[in-house]
Amino acid sequence: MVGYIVPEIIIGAFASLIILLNYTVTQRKILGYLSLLAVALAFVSLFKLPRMTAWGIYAVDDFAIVFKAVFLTVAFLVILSSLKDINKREGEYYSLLLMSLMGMLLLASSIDLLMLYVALELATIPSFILAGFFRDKQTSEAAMKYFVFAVVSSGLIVFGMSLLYGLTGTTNIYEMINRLELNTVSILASLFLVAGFAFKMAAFPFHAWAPDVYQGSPTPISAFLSSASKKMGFLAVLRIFYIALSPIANYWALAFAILAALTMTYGNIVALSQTNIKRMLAYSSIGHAGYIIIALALLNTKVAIFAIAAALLHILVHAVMKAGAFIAGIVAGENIEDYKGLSKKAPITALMLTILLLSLIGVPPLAGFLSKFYILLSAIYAGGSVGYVLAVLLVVNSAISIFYYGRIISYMYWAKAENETKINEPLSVTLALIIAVILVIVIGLYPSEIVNYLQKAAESFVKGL
Amino acid sequence: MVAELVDYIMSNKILLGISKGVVVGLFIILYASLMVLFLTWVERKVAARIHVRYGPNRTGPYGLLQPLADGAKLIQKEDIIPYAADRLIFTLAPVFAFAFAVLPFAAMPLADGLILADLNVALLYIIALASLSIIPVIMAGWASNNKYSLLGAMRAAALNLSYEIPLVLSIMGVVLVVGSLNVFDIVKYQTEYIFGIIPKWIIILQPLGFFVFFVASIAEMSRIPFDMPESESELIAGFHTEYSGMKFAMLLFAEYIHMVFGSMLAVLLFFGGWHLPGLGYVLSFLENFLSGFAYTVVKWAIQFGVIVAKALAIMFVLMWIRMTLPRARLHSIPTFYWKYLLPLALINLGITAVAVAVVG
Amino acid sequence: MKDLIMFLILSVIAVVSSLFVFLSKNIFRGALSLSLLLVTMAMFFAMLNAEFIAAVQILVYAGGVLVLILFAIMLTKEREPSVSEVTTSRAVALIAFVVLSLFYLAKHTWEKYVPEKEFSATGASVGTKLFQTYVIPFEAASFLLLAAMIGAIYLARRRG
Repeated sequence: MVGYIVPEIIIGAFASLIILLNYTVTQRKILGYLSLLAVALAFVSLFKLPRMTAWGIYAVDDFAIVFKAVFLTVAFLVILSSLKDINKREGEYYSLLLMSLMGMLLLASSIDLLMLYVALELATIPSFILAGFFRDKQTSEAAMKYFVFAVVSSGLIVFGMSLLYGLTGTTNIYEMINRLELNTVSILASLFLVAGFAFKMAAFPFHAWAPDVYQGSPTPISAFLSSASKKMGFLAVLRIFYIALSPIANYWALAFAILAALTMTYGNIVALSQTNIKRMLAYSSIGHAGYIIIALALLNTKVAIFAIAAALLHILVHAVMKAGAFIAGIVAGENIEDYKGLSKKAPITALMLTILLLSLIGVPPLAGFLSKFYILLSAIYAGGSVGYVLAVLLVVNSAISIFYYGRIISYMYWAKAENETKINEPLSVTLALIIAVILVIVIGLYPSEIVNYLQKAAESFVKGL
Repeated sequence: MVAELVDYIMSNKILLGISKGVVVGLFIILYASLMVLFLTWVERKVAARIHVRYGPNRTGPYGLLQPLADGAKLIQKEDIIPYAADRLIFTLAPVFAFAFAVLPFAAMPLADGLILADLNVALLYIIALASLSIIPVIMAGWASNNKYSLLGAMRAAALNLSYEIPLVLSIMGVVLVVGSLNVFDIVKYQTEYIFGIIPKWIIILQPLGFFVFFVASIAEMSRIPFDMPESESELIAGFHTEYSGMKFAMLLFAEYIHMVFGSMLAVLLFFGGWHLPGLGYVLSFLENFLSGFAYTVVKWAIQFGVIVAKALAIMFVLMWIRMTLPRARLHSIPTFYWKYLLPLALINLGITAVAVAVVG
Repeated sequence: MKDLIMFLILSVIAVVSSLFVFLSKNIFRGALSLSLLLVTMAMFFAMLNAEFIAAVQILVYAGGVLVLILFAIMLTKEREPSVSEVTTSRAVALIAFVVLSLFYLAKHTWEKYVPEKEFSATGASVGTKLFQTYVIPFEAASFLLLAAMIGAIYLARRRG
């Protein structure tokens, strides 16, 4: 009877268990392993989930499964890499991480604005504390910034949602289609939602928090924020805009097209001048958000399904790549100088990071190439001035990105370090990196199966269950 | 002439509603004010008896006119607003205090069928408005710009954050038993009998719930042992240190109205309201002599008298407690409410829920 | 018509008091004005036949959250913190803008979706909705509160 919600129940139960055990167990490692177990169990349970809709507010479709898989994978990598300095992290760390994850899993299935908002908050609020977890000046500042921006964006989102509810008298997104009309207020509502979710996605005019927060937070949490939290924005936008706001698609699609163009150009250009790796990854993350928003801008065209599939693929691939790249920073360090001669100091990390960065650039046959290629393809198929302009910008920006990713690779292999003492490469971090790299390679090698499944997911979500 | 007017009003629904509202509203304010005057006298008499003194005995028989003399004195007093005070908030605080104290009575039945506003969520409304009564206290304390007043207000806030949750949870037990948030339904439920003899007053079903409610509502009335906002031996007079004249009188009124309110709520929720074993026979006997409107008025008067009598009994216990117990220490209060009373309330709620589910 | 007049009066109070919350230089008065706003919101709910929500709104926000806010203000040292000056003309312009946009929104949404008169949100109907249709968000909200509580305790706890 509650089969549809098993992953969330597993995560929630383990989150509660861990916070209880926190005050009795002396070995903190156990808590970390328990949370890994929880994520693994939830992942396994994904394969057995029935496809159904519950109460008209919660849908388990293939679209939701894809996102749940993304979130669980990222969470697994993050927890694995957190096991390194185990003594710095108290039980609250894992508990809050799991609760945030639970919110994301719920969000993936929300087809009701109320459910969606509660899930969004459940995913966001624990991450404020996670961002400031070490309680020193740096992380507290990051947490504060994140808090302020997240609260403002939530406010915008709620305002947009309440206008939609006022216009249609329903919170269910599938019922909303038939009742929504094109008028000034509905456009206003969609603008509020675009702005609110643009904060969450860290798109250009609303991006200011991302670099500071990613730089200040503990590194695994930076990975979590950029790979999982940020993807919630895309998820919610796909659900709300493509379904509920489809009657006024032409208006918001244009807004997304402008956002996409600005975001990817800005992110990639500013990333060029960064000397802090976490900041650089943050800006590159903004650039990649721009690539995904291209797909959102194509939702009013005939290639919408294909665009959604491409967006899903890039969300999946980018989540894994970016998480891996941040995690490599745990071993290597934050400053770009630290990467000089990394191939001598930490050969495995350097190799893995190289593969991930090549994938971020978009070198075939890695997954990053594939997903960018599909977005490019959908932009070209869509045609029109918007499609072609975005396609050209995508190519130009990928070319720009070669410089800053390439710089790190060249530093690692060809630059000379001041001291070439070996850095300890902890097993857990290496393992997380290896998993990320394997995923990147496998997705790159077997594109057709995955793209077929994603296309099916896109169709399932459009039709509704 | 008067009869015609009454007939005309009775025939018009809107006019009837308005006139009923005006009459009952005035009655409530009058009742609350008279009750307060009476209570100040009672409190001093009871205190005197417990201290083995005489208490007021010069003004009128048994000193009954003492409250009026006090009132006359307070009206004559100079109205002082401290120079550094926030004048607006300082002036508004007593007004709000009085208003928030009287407002909950609007949803409180005074007799069977006699109520100002019959809401289906009356109990929730009553609790909600009662919870607002803390705001004027904080306003008064802050606006006075006096450290003792501020400390009193802070203590009031701390106390409020402690008692509110156990209070509401204990009332939840009653709501679960009755299955309604309407106070009429709650009293009606208590007019039945267990085994035909024991009146089904909720205190018999919910002794633990009543304990929690009573302790929490002592704090709600901010009386000893939980009179943190005033604690005259430490803070001069707490939040109303700077008040004088009629403003002080209004704050004092508000405090006593809280006491009337708390004990009336206890009567309605736990002691059967206007129900008294045997009262039904008296009423049906009276029905033979009187008819229509006259009977209703007499019935209301009797039932209202029952409520007031029960409430006075509870107030006597409150005065007794005040004269007997010392003031609790400030630190011990949050601990007491959060660590002991809250779990007790939760246990009560859990037991009640299971019992209701089993019995039906 | 009676409803419309009520609505306009209440919304003017709500807008003015919410503007006062951040225009006021005196933080304590700002908080009190916030309480006025919260009570006005409760009246909006009552107008929509949602008496249960209205009572809960007063109980939780005006009676609970606001007391916490006032408590926190009383713990601060400065009585009159230096907040940037807001000129009267700007305040008037802001109020005019908000009121006008409010009228605009009301004009578009009012006619279409008046509340269902027969429906009354009693304790029972709210409870049924909450524990059947909306049971998942309800439980999610309880986790949300738990997470917030754990986080607050963690941040406030002494190190070590």
